[in-house]
Amino acid sequence: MASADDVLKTLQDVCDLRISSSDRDVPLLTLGVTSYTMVRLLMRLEDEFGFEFSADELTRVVSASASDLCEVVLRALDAYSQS
Amino acid sequence: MSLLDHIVAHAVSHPERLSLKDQHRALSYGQLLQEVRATAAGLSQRGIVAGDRVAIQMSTSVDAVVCALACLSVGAIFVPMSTVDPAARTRRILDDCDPAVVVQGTYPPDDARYGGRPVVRPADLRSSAMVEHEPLSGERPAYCIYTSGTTGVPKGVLVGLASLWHAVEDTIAALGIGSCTRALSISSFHFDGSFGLLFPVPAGGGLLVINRQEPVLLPRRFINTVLTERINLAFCSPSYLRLLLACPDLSLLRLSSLKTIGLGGEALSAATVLAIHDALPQVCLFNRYGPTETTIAVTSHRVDPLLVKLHEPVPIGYPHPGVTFHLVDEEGRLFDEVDRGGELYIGGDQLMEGYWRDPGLSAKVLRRDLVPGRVLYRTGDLVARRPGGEYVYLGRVDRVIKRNGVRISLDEIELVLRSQPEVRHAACVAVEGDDDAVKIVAFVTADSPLQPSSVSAGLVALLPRAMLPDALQQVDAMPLTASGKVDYRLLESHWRARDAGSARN
Repeated sequence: MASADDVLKTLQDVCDLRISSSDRDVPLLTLGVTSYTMVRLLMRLEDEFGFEFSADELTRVVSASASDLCEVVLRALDAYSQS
Repeated sequence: MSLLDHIVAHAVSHPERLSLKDQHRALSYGQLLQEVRATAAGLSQRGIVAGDRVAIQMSTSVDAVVCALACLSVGAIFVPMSTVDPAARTRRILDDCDPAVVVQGTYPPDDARYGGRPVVRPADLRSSAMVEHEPLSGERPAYCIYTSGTTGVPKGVLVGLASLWHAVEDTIAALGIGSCTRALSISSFHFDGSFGLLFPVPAGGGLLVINRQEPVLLPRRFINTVLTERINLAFCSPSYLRLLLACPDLSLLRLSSLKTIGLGGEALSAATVLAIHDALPQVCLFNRYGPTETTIAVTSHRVDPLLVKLHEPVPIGYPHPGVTFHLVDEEGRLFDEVDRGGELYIGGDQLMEGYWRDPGLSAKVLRRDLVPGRVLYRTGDLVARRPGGEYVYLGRVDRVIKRNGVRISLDEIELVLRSQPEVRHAACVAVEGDDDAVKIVAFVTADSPLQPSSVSAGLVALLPRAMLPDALQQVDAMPLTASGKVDYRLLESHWRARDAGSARN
């Protein structure tokens, strides 16, 4: 099962960002993650962790912070594994 | 006949045929006309008359299209606005266009960004009364769309009904939109690129499928939607097309109904055309070009992959009927020579009326002195005409820098970089260093790790010494702005941050 650290590692890798603890609640868009990088990030998360975001989750993560993203991914993974 | 007349005609001849569909609902042509009339009645009941502005702050949706058509029906000017803009920018735009009402469903109506203006949800706007569409006489503004200005202050581009109709009519003709069309819209409503489908498809009698933007931007969802909705026409930016190309599921579209992709918003590379042709040989690409000030698009060039040359820009084609292109040299003189780059001035049927309440800025770009009796829009785009008459986009005239007395077009360096076999995409920025020297930094993407020396060797063979980049950095993907264009500012700030980091270490 993936952890928040795994999600953060993918995020940092795709977005070429170092997320400090003070940045974790800042919207990723504010940290310079463009919408297209976000698309690439979401694609990578799905491929890496083997699940699919629901439409609602995708709408939520578009303006998410790193913490929000971790929460959504872990919850989605959980729901996906139980489905 | 106008845009609305065409929709009325489809509603009368085929009232049961589907016109618009999103994740919430689907409307037949008969229902579309009813909703437009009911919404127009709601606007009239609120005292909105011809010339009033109506801000529409909605995602691309059936409601947004209905609302825009209702505005056209009563003669109001609709102002498409982003749902994700910072509050301060929303407020600034609203203060500038001063709408009689804001139609939106995202924020509380008393949110400070609306400054106390009336705010309604689209469903609340629909009245049980109906307004029959009666063509209003004369030319009038249709919409006012805000683009970022070079000064950082958004400017409102005011587009007339006749210009909108010309653009719609030419798009229908160029792309063959008709009753068999099943189109997919993935662009945001506040970008006029979205109008390339939102109005031509219902005017042409086809079905427009509108998906929630965030999900459909994931290539796998886009592909699924194309398959389940049997989409045969879609629009996107070349950058999005590259995302699709990177998706392993793309091959599923090989036997799909998708036949046409319209592209716009940025330069299309030959490598992208050839990659799509290889992956989806049945798909025909249309390269569309046009500044917001000349209404959606003024060219729709059907790209022939067999004629595309790897080291040359993909043509933008010929101007739409009723649109004229004029090339002007650095001295401000018109010229006719082929294969010579010049600034493009556009005249004819698709010109904007001007910038909203800014006659000074309008006069600067709408020139009356170049061709007697004609108004021409100064695009700031560098374009050349090929011997066959088609035009190619070379870049922006304002991305020209001077280094050591030499004029350098960053776009030209990018074009040469893109012509290198191992490079997929390239973007250059000029960064002023602490010593005031201008450094050219090239960012490139590639399928595998690049050897800078091999790329440099290719550049040395093609570029004057003064134009060679000082640094070359490989990135996983080009950062893009919300509108899908290369985000040069972000690249510049990345480089500065990296420079500052290296200086500290």
